[in-house]
Amino acid sequence: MKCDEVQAKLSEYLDKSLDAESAHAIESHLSSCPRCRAEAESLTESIRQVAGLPLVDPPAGFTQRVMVQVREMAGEPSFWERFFLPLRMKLPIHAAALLLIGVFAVYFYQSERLEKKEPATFRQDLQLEDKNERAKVAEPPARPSVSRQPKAEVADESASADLKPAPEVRERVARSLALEAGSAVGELAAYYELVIKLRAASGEIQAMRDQLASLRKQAESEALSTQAERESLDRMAPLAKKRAKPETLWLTIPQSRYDQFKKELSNLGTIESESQTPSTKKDLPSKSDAPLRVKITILPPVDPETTPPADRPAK
Amino acid sequence: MDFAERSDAECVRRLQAGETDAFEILVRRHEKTIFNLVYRLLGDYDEATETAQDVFLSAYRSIRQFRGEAHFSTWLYRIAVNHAKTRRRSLANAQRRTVPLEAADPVSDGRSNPAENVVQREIQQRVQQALKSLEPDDALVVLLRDLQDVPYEEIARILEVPIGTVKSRLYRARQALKSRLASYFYSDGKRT
Repeated sequence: MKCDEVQAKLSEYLDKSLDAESAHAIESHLSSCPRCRAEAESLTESIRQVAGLPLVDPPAGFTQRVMVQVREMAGEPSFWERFFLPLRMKLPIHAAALLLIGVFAVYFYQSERLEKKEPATFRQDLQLEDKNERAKVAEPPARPSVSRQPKAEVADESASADLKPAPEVRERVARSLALEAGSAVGELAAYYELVIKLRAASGEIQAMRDQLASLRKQAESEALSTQAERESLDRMAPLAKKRAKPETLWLTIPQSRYDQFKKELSNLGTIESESQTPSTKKDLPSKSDAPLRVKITILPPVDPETTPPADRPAK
Repeated sequence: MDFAERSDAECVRRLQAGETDAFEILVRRHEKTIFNLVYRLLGDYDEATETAQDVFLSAYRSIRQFRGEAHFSTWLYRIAVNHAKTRRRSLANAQRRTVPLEAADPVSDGRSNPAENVVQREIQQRVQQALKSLEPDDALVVLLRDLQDVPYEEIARILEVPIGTVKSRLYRARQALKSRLASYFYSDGKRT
């Protein structure tokens, strides 16, 4: 072995951690190489000096001081222990807290879901549901049209004159009306909506009143409407004109009278739109006496002073 | 079962089960070894006291993380090595003066000759200073192997390095110490 190789292995040789063959080779080299032998001896001495350093005792009471601090730490609950223990107390509290959070979450979710509906549609829902709650299903009437009907309401739809109820609302109304009339769902066209724009001529107010009186007489003669509905008919058209806001009322007429009713209504103004819901699967015979629930939205006339000529409806 | 009979493993089991007093057995059993390792690396008695306490408190706090895959002593050594290196680094940055070792070191081997005691004390100081001049990793391998007679394999586990690295560090550290202590050795190997 060369001196460099021997000196690189001296540390392990002195620790007796070399294999037998390597150790023997180094011993042979050291016996014949003074330089490496001197190196081995000085290395041995430095190892001995370190090994000869005296063991120093830690200060008196070292263990006791450590244990004092350990026992202090042992007395303090850990974060998790503080949070979860004692179980008999903490578990019910946590369970109750979770339950409360769940209830509030459901409550707020429901509130938010309802608020996300279109406001006008939501209002309509409330109004119609309110009507349905107040209506009572009477015993089957002698004439299909004779039943207590919900009062007509004046809906302030000035902000949404051309608003049509959502289909599901109409369907709900139709079903409730069918129950009120004592007839099965599906037999009734149930719901018509007419939007009529009054004519603008100022001198027609009296004529309008006359028309309304005529319609009213017909309603009276055929016992189509309640007193409230009849009065609302008298009130609505002039009111719409006076307030320049749409007004809404409900009437009940037999299916067979619907076309005639529309014709007479057209004397008051222009029927802007007509819709029916739910759509019937088959056409009802025109002479059917099944009661029709009709919603009439009366739009105020166009003001000739403020409306450009192009926008005025043609007479 | 008395103090001498309870093994480290059993004490750890009891400690992990909540028996705090079991830790006192572990402290008493290992305090001198840990204290001396830290003391010889830092060269300051008060610093060594504080650091050794921190070592045991750290061990107590993290005892539940000890899974028994290694010996408790290996795990404790590892904590001591980390604390000692950190403290030595902060002391070096603070450039604090160390306390002379004369007051701390006991008379080494009980020799009654005062002259020899003085010489011996001087050599010990030189050795301590030489150890302090080494890189912390090199000084640690020398202290673990030559002062505390820890096997290579155990040193490798404590320092979390391969055995080959332990051997090469030890060789380098011993050569450096030899160079620093050369004036106290015989020119032909004998002391002058």
